[in-house]
Amino acid sequence: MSKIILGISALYHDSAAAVIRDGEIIAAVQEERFTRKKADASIPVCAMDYCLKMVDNHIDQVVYYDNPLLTLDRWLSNCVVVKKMGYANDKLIEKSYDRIMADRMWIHEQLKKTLGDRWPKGTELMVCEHHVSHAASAFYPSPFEEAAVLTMDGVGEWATTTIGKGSGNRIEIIEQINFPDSVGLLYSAFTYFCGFKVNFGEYKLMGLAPYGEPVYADLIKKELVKIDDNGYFRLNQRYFTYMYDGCIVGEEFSGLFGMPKREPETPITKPYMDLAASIQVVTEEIILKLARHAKELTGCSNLTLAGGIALNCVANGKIIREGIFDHIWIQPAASDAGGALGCALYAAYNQFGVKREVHKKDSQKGSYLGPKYENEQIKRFLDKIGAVYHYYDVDKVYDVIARYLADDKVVGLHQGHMEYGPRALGNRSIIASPVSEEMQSKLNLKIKFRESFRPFAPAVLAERAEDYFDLACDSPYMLITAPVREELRLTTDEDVGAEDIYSIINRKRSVLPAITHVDYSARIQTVTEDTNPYFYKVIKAFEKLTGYGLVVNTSFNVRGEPIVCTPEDSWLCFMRTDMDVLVLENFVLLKEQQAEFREDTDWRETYELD
Amino acid sequence: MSWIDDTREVEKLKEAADIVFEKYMCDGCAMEGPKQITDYITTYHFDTPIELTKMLKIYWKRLDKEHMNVFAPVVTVASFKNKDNQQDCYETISPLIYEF
Repeated sequence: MSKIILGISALYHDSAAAVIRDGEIIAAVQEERFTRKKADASIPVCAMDYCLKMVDNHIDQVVYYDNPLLTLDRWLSNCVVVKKMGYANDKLIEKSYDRIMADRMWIHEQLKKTLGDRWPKGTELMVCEHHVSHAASAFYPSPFEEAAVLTMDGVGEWATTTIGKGSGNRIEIIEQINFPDSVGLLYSAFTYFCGFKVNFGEYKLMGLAPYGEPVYADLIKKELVKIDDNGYFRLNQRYFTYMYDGCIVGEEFSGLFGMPKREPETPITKPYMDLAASIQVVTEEIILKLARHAKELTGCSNLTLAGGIALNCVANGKIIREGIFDHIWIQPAASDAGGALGCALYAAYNQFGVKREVHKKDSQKGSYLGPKYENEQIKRFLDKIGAVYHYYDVDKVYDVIARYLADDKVVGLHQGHMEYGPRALGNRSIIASPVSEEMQSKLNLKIKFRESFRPFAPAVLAERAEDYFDLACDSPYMLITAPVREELRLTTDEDVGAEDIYSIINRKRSVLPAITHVDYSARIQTVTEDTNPYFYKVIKAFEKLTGYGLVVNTSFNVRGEPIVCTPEDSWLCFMRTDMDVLVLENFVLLKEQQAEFREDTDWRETYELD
Repeated sequence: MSWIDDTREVEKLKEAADIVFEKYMCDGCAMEGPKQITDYITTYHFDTPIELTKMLKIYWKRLDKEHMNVFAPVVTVASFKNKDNQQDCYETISPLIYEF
């Protein structure tokens, strides 16, 4: 008898739903893609609808990715302990009272109300512990029979870090680090202090790090975080305010570094670049030590990772290059969104005895788990809005796209099932030539409207990855950085000691300037024909024209906007920006051929800057 | 805070925190989390205040933190008072602090 399980993450950040049948992932999607609210944390009504549609509205069990009683226990314990620290607990209560008493405690009622008669009869909600959900999302879809499992995030219930072992269809958590000691909160503290938004800007901080020098790393380790040899760490709460205030750090933190918090959207100066570099180095030290400890504890040769910290692709690249494990696999929806998938998988294997089948590559299906729109639907939409389009058969469309890329056009590519997780992997992507010198700044400033220091990633034919990068493994989910090969680099020492980030950004660093970061690294996606034939053939056609087997791949959205989902989202993003070409499956639209685009309101006001 | 008047519950919550603080916290006590995750997955359900109180007490016993039972009455009242008070409080996520 087949078992269909709906997993839900909600009420913190990045709500999502996932549905699995007998352990096979059928669909998984984040709510933000439908509601168009970045990191939407509400009950994922639309995501649940989509997932249920994919299983004909029949499910046998609903599982939530977090245990509200454990979160309640941590919050109440926090209310007690802050008094011990000499602070009042008023702000803590004010911040979370409603969310806990009205929302989280009633998650079972909220989900039942939302699902109505689709709720599986005779069942009650199951809740899976937060880091077990992360661990399950890392281990079960991985290509490993046995692996160490490392999860790290800000905090989930009590835990901030866990080390476990997965074997067959079982997961055991061996050790854990609890709140308030959190590498995620530590990184978020610097994110905030450097003028980026907590929960949104961590990847910007990581992108900023190579512009600076880690001159504060020793100070951080001396004052802020004590790191043991096994990676265990303790934060010095003297410098953090998150236990009792509505903000993550305060004046003590500022005083330690002798500088004020950087205000958002102000110029980024050298000290903030150095702070970014410093916390990145410290974070990597913690992660590498934890990885070694996980190896010792489990004796496994494989490692799986999840939790928001697993999106730190620079640290992931270092784990690989250190050779601690033979193989690693990282859940592409590593943050809370992935918890929806993890809790469903955990229930399948541990509550319902589903047999686990390990797939040679993995069971994540390329993370192409969201909605897909057929050519007929797209044609109806384009006809309705009066767009000018060209239809190409499958034999031709790849060559057409490649031609535009070779002509330095920026192409919005919408095809296949939408990606699950924060990375666009060729199905909701903006793609461009990596050879163009102006492409990084054009993409940042005219297409994405985002900070000009932010790098772009390459999507490379898997079989050609080693021609361009020192990469010893596949990186199908763009979660690993690796150096651009030495022989492709252009030497420059002009950056040394530069005070102004803008003087560094536009220097050509390799023959692939659009995807080479300031430290000669690149965040790589390796593309294979079996996982994404359409995208593979586009890159292959580009290679035929130019000799380069890779393209720039960035998410199809503007700053502050969730990645596009529907053809309409893609069309709007195309028309609002300086993108040259839009591809919707087999339909190709050129900007120059479209009628003038007018909107009643300024779309820039729709999306809050992230 | 919501449109529901929770003043009394908030005060009771603070009183309970004081009781736990005074009776059960020694010098040098830090946050007291579970040593290890124990219930990886469990059923979560309650309909009545009695069921919720019972569930809380069972859970704190399992965590070996029975002193937290001081909070059970106020959590039960506060939860039921706010049962239908779900708000669109997730419109924006704080840029100042990780949501936990």
